[in-house]
Amino acid sequence: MRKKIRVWFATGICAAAAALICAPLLMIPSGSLMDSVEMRRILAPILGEGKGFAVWHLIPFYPTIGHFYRLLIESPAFYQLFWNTVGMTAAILAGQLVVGLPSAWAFAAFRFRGRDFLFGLYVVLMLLPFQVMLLPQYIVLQKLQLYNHPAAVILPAIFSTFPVFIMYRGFTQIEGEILEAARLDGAGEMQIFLQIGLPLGKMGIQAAIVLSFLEYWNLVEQPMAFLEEQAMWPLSLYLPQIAVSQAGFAFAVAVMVLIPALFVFALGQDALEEGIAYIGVKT
Amino acid sequence: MTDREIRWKSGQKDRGLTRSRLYAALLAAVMCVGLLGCGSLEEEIPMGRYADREVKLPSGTFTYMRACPDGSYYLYGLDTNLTYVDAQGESREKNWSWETNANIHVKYEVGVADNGAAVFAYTPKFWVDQELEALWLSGDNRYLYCYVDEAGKNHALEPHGEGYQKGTNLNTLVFSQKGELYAASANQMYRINVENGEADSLFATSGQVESIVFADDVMLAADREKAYFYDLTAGKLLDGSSVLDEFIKSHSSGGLVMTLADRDRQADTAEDAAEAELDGAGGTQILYLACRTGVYRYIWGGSIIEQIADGQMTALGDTQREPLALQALDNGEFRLLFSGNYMTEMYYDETLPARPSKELAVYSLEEIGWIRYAGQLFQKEHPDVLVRYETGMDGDNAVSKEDALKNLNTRLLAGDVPDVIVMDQMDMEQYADKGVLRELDGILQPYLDDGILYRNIVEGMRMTDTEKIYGVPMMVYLPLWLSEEMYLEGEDGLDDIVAGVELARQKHPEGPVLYTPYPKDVLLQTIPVCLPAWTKEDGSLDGEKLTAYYEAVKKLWELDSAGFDEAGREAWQKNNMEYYEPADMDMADIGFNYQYNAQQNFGETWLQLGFLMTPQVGMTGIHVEKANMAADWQQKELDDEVTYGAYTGQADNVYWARMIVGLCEQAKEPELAEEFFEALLSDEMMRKWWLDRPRNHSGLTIRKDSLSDILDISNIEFGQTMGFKDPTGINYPDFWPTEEEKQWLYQMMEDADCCYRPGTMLEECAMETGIRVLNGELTPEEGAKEVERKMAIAMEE
Amino acid sequence: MRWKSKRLLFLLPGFAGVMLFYLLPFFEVARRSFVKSGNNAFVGMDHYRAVVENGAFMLAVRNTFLYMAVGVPLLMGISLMLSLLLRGLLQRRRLVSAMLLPMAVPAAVMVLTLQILIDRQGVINGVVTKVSEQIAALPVFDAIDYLNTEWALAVVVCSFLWKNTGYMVILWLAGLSALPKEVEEAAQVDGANRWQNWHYIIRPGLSGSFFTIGMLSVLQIFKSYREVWMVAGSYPQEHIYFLQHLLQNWYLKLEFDRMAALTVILSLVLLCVCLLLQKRLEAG
Repeated sequence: MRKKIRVWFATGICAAAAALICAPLLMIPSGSLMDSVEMRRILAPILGEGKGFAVWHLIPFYPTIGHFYRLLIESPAFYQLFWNTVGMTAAILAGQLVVGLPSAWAFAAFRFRGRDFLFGLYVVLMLLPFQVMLLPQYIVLQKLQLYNHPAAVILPAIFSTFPVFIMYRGFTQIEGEILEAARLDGAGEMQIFLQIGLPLGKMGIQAAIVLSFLEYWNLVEQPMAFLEEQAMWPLSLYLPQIAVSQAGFAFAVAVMVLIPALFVFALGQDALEEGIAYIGVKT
Repeated sequence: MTDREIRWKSGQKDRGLTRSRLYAALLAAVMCVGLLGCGSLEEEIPMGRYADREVKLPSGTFTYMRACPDGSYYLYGLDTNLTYVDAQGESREKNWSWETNANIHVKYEVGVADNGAAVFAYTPKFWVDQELEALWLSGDNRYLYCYVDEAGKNHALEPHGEGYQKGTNLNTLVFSQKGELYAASANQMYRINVENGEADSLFATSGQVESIVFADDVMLAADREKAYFYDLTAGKLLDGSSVLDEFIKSHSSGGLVMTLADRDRQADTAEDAAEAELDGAGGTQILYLACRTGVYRYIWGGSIIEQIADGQMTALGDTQREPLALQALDNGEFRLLFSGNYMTEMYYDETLPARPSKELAVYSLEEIGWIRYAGQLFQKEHPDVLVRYETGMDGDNAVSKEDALKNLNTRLLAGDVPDVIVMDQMDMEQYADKGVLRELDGILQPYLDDGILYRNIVEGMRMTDTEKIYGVPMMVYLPLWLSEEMYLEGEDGLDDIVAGVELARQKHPEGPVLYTPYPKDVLLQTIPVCLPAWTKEDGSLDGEKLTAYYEAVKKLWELDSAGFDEAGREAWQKNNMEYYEPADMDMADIGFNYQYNAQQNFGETWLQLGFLMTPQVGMTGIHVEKANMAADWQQKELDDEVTYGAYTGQADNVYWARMIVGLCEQAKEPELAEEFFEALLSDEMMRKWWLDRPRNHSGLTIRKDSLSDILDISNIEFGQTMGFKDPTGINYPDFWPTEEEKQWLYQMMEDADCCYRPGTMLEECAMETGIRVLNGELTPEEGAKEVERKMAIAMEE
Repeated sequence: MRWKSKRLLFLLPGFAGVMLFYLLPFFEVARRSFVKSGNNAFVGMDHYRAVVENGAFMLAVRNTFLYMAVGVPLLMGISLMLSLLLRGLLQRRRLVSAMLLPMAVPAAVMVLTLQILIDRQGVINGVVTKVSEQIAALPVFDAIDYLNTEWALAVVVCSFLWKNTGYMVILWLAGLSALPKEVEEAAQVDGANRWQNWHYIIRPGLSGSFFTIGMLSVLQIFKSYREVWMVAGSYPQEHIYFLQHLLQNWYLKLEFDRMAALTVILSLVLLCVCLLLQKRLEAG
C-alpha cells in the first residue's frame, strides 16, 4: 500500500513537472490557428503598440487554418526544406552511429596511452562554441570543395564528438570482467563489441540518438554558414525571423516541426531498444 | 566501487601503438595531400555563346506576343491595339472596330491566331446591365469572351458544352497553327469552336495551364508542375515526359515560356547540331524553353534537356523581369518578350568566350534594385565579365543581419573577398580600420575637382581618424517637413520642432498632429537628424546630447498623444494596423516608406516629418506620399497652405546615405572593381535607372547632372515608360517641381554635409531604449545612462 | 597480438574525421591567436593580453561563471530528482517525452514564445497583475521588465531549466538503468532506508554520469546563447552579457585574433576542468 502511494506521489510530481514544462508550448498550436488580426491585437502591447498586457487566448476567437494553408499548399518550398531536414538528420544520425559507436567503444573498453587526454580533448572540442570554429571549418570545407554542399553540414556533424561522449558513458557501465571473460573465451573484439557492448550500452546509444536528433532537427547555425543555396536549407531556416507580424505562420511551421519530433519520441524509443537488442542477438 | 577498477587497467603495453603512430602519420599525410591538391587547373575557355540585344518595341505597352512560324509576330497590351510586326521588323497597327462597340471594361486575356484573328477574355461594364451588376456584386467576376475574326468583325463568344461549366474563367487562350482555339481553365483543357462557342472538354490538369505549343497533331500543354501531351487526332492523352515534368517543376517559379521549332530549319545554326542529331530521339521538332536560368532545348520525344544559353549573361537573368513569350527564329536566334515592356533578341556570338573569363563579385546585405540593374548594364558592356551580385539576407528566413555579417566576415577572414561591397547597414569604420576597404580618394579626386559630384556629400564620408574616404553613397535622402502652415519656418534644431508642434497643437487641440501612431515612429522621424551629433570627437557618446534628445522626443510624443483620449488613440492605431496587412510589412517599413497614404483616409495630421526619397514628382502634391507626408492633399485640393521645408535636429544639414559603395583592398579583380565603381558614378547609370523605373524610392543622386536630368520633365516618357496612365486621377506634369523648387532642392544638396548612416549599433540601442523612455518606463536621464552603459561595453570590446 | 591493431580500428575512422573537421580547425584557431591577421607576423602573447585586459572580457567571464554556477547545479539537481522519481514508473516514457518537447521547438519560435511571456507587457506580468488586483491583501504589483533589470539572469536561468530538464532526465535515466538492480534490492531487504540507498548505492554508481551530465550541462549553457541573443540582442542587460556575446561581437568586428586567443584560453580551462573532474569522478 505504501508503495502504491509512493508511486502515485512520484507520478503526480513528475506529471506536474511535465505539465509545467509543456504549458508554454500550448501557445504553439493555438497560435498556429490564430488569424493575423487577432494575433496582432494580442501582441500589440509587446510590440510597444498598445497599453496593458498581452492576453493569450488558448482557443482563438477566430480560428483559421490560413497559416497551414499558406505553409502546406502555397509554399512548395516547405516540402523541399522539410525533406532536406529529414534527409540531413537521418544521414547525420546514421553516420554518427557508424563512426561514433566504435569510437565510444574504444574509449570505454580499451586502455591506451593518452586515452584520458584524448578523451578530454574530445570533450573540449564538443564544448567549443561554433562561432570560433566557423572560420577554420569554413576554410577546411572550402579546400575540400564541400562548401555549399549538404555534406558541408553532414560530414562535420557525423564526426562530432558529442555522440561519442554520450555513448561512451553507456559503455563504461559494462563490467570489465565480462569483457575479460569474453576475451578469454576467444571472442574477437568485433564480436565482443557487437554482442556484449551494443546490448549493454543500449541506453547510452538510445540517449545519444534522441539527443542528437534534437540537436540536428533544429540545426540553425551550420547550414546558415555553410549552405548558400536556399534549396538545400533545412526547415529551421525557413522560419521567418522574429518578425512578430509573421507569428502565426511561425507557429504553424513550429507545429510541423514538432509533429515528427513527437513521432520520434513516441515510436523511436521502443523501436530503438528492440533494434539494438536485435543486432546484439543476430551477430 | 572497486569492481569497476578491476577492468584490465592500463594493462598490457600496446604494440599496436607504434603501428597506430604509423597510421596516424599516414592519415595526416593523406589529408595534407587532399587539402593541398584541390588547387584549380588552368583551362582554356572555348569561344561562342548567346548574347542579347534590346529590340525597340512599337509605341505602346505590351504584355502579349504571338509568334508566327515565319518570324513575324503580333503584340498586344492592355491598353494598346493589336500590332503586327512582320519578319522584316516593320510594324503596323491592326485597327479593329470592336474596340468601340464591345462592352468592355477590363481586358484580361487574349489569344491571337497566325492570321490575326483574336479572342479576348474581358470583364464587361457591369453597371450597364442589371443582371451583370448583380453577378458582379455577388463577387462573381467571370469573364466574357469575344471573337474578332480575321477581317475585324466582332462576334460574341459564349463557350458552352458538356464539361464546361458556365462562368468558368478561361485564363489561357491559344490558337493552333490550324486556327483552332484551345483554352485552359484552372484545371481543365478545352477546345473551343470560335464560330458557335461549342467547348469540348479535353482533359483535366492539376494546375492552370500557362503555355501551349502544337507539334503536328500533338498538343503540349504545361502548367507549373507537369507537361501534358495530347493527341489531337486520337483525342487522348499520351505518356508524359518525366524529364520535362522535372524541369518544369524546378524552373517555373520565375516564369517559363516555350516554343517549338522544326528541327531541320534549326539544325545548321544550333551550336552543336551534330550531337543533337546523334541524340537519336528521332523527333523532328525541338522544344525551346526559356526561364530565368537560361534557354534550354529539348528534342521532341527525347530524354535530355540541355542548356544552350546561360540566363545570367542575358536579360533572362534579370530578377525584375519575367519572360512572357519566346519565339525561335530560323537563323537560330530567339526573340523574347518580357514584363516591363521589354523585348530582346538573343543571337549566337562566336567572338565571345563561352563563359566570361572574369568575375566581379558585388556584395550587399539586402537586395538593392539599382545595384542589380547596374550590374546587368555593366555586364552587357563587358561581355567577358560576369557580375555576381550576392546578398547576405534575402526573403523571409531565419538569417538575421548579424548572421549575414558573420558569413561575410568568415569570407573576408578566409580570404574569399568580394570585389565591391555596398555597406548599407554595415559598420564602415570597422571594415576600414581592419584594412578590408580600399581608400577611394584617388578615384574620387577628378569627380570632386570637376564638380561632378556634390562635394560636401562625398566629404561627409571622410573618416575622422584616418582622414580618408572608403565609401560613397550613390544616392541620398533629405529630411523634409510638410505642414498646413509655417509652423516650422526658420526651424533650427530639435527645440524648434517641439515649439512648432506645440503651436500646431494649440491650433488643433484634437487628433494627431504628427503622424506617429507609436513611440517608434517619433524616434524614426527624429533619430536621423540627431544621431550624428551624439558622438564626441574622441568617439565616445555625448550623454548630455542624448538626454536632451530623449527629453525633446518625449515632449513631442506627449504633445501628440494629448490630442487623444486613450480610446481615441487606440482606435486610430487600430485603423492603421488594419490597413497595413501585417503579413506584408513590418511597422518599421510603414513608418518610413508609406507612412501615410492620402487615399486611405486616416484622417488629417497637421505637421509631418519625413524624408524626401524621390525628387521627381513635385515639391507639393503627390510627393507628399513619397516623402511620407500626411497633409491630405486631396482634401485640401493642394491649396497653397501646404508648405514644406528642410528640418534639422541636433545635427545640421543631415543627409541619409544610401547605397554606400566601397571597394575591397584585396579584391581579386581590382581594376574591374574600379571600373565598376566609376560606372556606378556615371551619369548614364544614375539617369537611366531613374528614367527606366520612375517612381522608385532610391533617393537623390549625388551626381549633379543626373539629378537635374531626372528632374527634367522632358526626359520622362509618361504613359509609355511609366507603364500606366494617371493612376491617381492627377496629372503628373502638373505637379512637377517648378524651377524655384528645383533650385531649392539643389541648394539643399549643396549644403548637406552631415552623414547619417542607418543601422549602427548606437542607433539600435537608442531606439530600443527610446521606446522605453516614451512609454514612461525610464526617465530621459536613465535612458541616456543605459545607452551609455551599453556603448561603454561596446567600446571596451 | 593481432587484435591490438584491430582495437585501433575502432577509434581511427572517427578520429580521422575529428582531426579533419575539429582538430585541424582548432590548430588554425590556435595559430591565429599568435599572429597578426593580414600579414601573419608573429606577435607573441599580444592578443592574449588584449583579451585579458579587456573590461568587457571580465564582465563576460563573471556573468558566464555566475550563469554556470547557478544553472548547472540547479539543472542537474532538478533533473536528477525527477529521474529518481521517474525511475520505475509505468508512464516514464510519455512523461520524459513531454519534458523533452521544448528541445524540439525551433529556436525562433522558442524565443517568440518567451517574448510573449516575459515582456514587460507580456502574459506573465499580465497574470500577476490581475491576481494582485483580485486579492486585496496583496500589494500592488508593478510590472517588471524582466530582460532589462536584475531579473535578466533569473529569466535566462529559468528558460535554460525549462528547455533542458528533459534532456538531462534522459541522461540520468540512462545512467540509472545501468545500476545493478540486485544490489539495491538486496540492500532494501537488509533494511537500508532511502537515504542510505542513495548515499551508498545510487550516488557512487552514478559518479561517472555526474561527469557526463555536468559537462553536457555546460555544453547546453553555451548552446543557450543563441536564444539569449535572439531575445536580448548583441548588447543585453549587463547581467546577461556572456562570453559568447563577446565572441560574437568580436566576430562582427573582425577581431578574429582576439577571438582565437579567447578560444585557446577557454579550451585550456575546459581541458583542465575536464581532466580533473574525469579523474575524480571516474574513480568513483
